[in-house]
Amino acid sequence: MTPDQKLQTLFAEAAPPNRDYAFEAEVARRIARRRAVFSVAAMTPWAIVSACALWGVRPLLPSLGDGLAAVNPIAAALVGALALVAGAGAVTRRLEGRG
Amino acid sequence: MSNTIKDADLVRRARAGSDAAFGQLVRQHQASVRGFLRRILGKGGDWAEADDLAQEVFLTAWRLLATLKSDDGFRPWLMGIAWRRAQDRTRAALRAAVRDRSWLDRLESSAGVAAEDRMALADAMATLTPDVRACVALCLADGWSHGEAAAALDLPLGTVKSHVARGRARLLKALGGSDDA
Repeated sequence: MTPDQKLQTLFAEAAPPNRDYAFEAEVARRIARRRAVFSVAAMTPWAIVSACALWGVRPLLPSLGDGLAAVNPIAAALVGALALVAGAGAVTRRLEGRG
Repeated sequence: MSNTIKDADLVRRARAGSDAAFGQLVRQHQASVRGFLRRILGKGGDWAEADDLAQEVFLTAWRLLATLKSDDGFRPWLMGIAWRRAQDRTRAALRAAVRDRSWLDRLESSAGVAAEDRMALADAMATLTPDVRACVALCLADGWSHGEAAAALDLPLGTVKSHVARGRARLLKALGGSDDA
């Protein structure tokens, strides 16, 4: 075996397989974890703003609730649920766009 | 790379938030990145550190994908990240100044190559400067063109050519060849 052949053989020893599921899965897992951290970090300011806003409108909530309930309790609940879903969807789309 | 999806298309989709596209980029380039890091950081068969660093390289690439200027330039850009991370790791290892030689006990023979040749190559690689080692790992071991290596390592083309020639001569000499490049 010539030195050149030895060199190529030794270099080939360090070559990883062309397909390595374990490696790819580990990278995907670490990316998913980092994305989750980013998502939480991105939502934190929104959570704080929402909490402050709710605290600010707190005096109005009882009268608002009474007014809606007087119209129709089921409609009031549906409107509230839809507002929550729309808000969550908007936040999700925003975060995915940053992906 | 005829059977693989074009990098540019995958980069565009990954930028748009597709984890599947980025996963395909990992699939297509993991062997190249890991091989490069193993050859410049590896300690005679202990690839764990190099493979762990390769994972960090892909994480960094995922985070910085928006900064990639040309969608077609993913491969050299990725290898540039690997090269910088390897330099950081090498500097940290030098600061620690503790050499773990236990890998010598784990050496295994491969067909036709004696253990002393493997040790001679590892020692010869260790004596090369980091730039020369990186050029050798890319151009001699992984078949990159000099131009690609120059782009990835941010070195002038002529420097890469001379590094490859000098490194090859040193390694062949360590394996019993003549001193000629």
